[in-house]
Amino acid sequence: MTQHNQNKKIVTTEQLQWLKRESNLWQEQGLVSNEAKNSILDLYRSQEDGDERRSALSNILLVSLGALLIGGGIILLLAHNWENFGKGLRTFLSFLPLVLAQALCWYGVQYQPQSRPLRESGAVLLFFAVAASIALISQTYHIYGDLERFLVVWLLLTLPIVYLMRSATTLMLISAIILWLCCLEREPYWLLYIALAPYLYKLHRQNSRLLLHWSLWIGLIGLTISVVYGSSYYASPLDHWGIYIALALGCAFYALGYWWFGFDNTKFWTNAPTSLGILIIGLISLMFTWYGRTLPSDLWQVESPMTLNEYAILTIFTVSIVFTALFITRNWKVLSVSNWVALSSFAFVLLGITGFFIHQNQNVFVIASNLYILTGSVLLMFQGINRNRLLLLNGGLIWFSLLVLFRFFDSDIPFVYKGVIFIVIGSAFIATNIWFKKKQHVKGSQS
Amino acid sequence: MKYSKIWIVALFVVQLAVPGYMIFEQQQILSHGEVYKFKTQPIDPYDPFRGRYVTLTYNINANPIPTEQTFQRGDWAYALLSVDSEGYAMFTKLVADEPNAGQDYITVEVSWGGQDRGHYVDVPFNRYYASEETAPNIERAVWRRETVDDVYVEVSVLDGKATLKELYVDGLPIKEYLETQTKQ
Repeated sequence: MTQHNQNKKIVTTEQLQWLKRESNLWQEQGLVSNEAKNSILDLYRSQEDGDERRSALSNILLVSLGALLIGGGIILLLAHNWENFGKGLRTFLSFLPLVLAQALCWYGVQYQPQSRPLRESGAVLLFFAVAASIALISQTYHIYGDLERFLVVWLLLTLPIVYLMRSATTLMLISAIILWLCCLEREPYWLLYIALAPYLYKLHRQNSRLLLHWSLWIGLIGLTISVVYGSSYYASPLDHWGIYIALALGCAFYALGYWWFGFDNTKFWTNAPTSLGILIIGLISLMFTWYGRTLPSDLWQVESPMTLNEYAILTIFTVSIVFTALFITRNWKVLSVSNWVALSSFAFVLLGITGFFIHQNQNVFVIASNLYILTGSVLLMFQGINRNRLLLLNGGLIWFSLLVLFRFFDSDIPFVYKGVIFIVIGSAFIATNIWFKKKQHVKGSQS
Repeated sequence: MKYSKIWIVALFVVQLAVPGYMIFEQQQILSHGEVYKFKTQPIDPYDPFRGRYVTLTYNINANPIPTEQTFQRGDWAYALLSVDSEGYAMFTKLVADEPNAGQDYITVEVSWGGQDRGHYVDVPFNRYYASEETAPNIERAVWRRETVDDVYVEVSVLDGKATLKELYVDGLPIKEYLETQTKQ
């Protein structure tokens, strides 16, 4: 697989041309194979390439945003309800934006197939034109239909645009519509995210970095909120399980990011699954540190019937557990300390499931999770310092600070206990710091 | 590429056909449907895409519709239509099987209730869209007259589908009624 463009070293065009000439010579002399030559060349890119790429991306971004605003504007204009226009004119108006957007898309596909900005903007306009068309007809004829039905029709008519127009912006807009639907009705509309997955993979294959990362972030955040919202509410059959479902999703995302982008990709923005996974793990593990969190006392609340949504959520829960377990077993040896810190939160999912069978004491969860965050955050901070990675250091610090903040305001622990624990941990920090400094000093004097 | 262009054209056709069919269906109901009058009370909400509308709550829906069959909430059923002594529409019965020709009915979504006391239903013509200026005026005009029962809608019914034709107050279409109010 070719190296990610962002990770390539930037050199001047002259340097790159020199390298190309030289490597051709090396190949002719039999010093390197063709594959080795291409691999070497793949390590570098010229400054101009980067600038060109950046300018193309900003072009796409601006044009897409422009199209988005125009599309939204058309909908708002039509929503005003021009009731004096009469049915004939309003019917014509409902088709006008649709036909114009289709014409623009066709022009892009037929005459400017290489122009990504044109394709993206045409697709975004078409996306909104479909909505404007249905909305105006519904308005003209007072057609019954709640927002859910409207969004479903809109979604189904525009989903193919993602693939046929190869538009990542439309994919992001559709992700938002799916999330909207899931928040309106607790139905398994989130399964539609699966329909977007092949295009995300295609973007990955095309090395389309900016669009891939935006799409991934929006898609995964949408999926997480939809699933959690669909399972955690009063009278949901899965209400007791919501916290474990969210944590299992977080662990699976974390694993997915490394499985997909490799262990080398440690940047926050460019590895959306792992980054979102770690955010979910951090947040949910903090929730476990409080008393009063509902333990799964029942497999599900039997008074509420299980529907397709619940079965689908249980399926994604199971898939997340299996995937995370497989990832851990297959990558056992290569996992770093920070990987282990994140992935050991998976134990709480398993504790939750076993807790149902053996009716675990809540203390087990509260003590274990407090210890987990305390140890985990300190380990992350050390890792951050040792490996000179600011992200790890800051992540550990934020996690630790939130734990301290939560415990400070925790009314379940008596003040004396809290005071003693705070002083002991504080002293341990200072002692560790002194020990660490001394160690570094010894190391320095030896070398 | 050629293959994908065929699919693009197919998508365009579907995108045009869906709104086209919506118009055709509504026109069919309006031209060939039987017209019923439903007593109503409008209130004024907002839709981000379709603009302002008045939600119509119907007197016909104040009581459950009698039925001999068992329905779950969310089921689709057929509400048989008739006309009361004052000429307004009323639901006589809720059935699961599509009625025979000659009997007007509306396809409705079953709401709460039971076989013993009957079921409430969601009436599928509960929105009257109007402009930003008109919608609040409709609500105001109608609420001022809540003691008078002369607010009704005309609905065209054909093969179980219903389309709202016009909202009337005092025997006048709502826009004419609002104009007369402004003149006064």
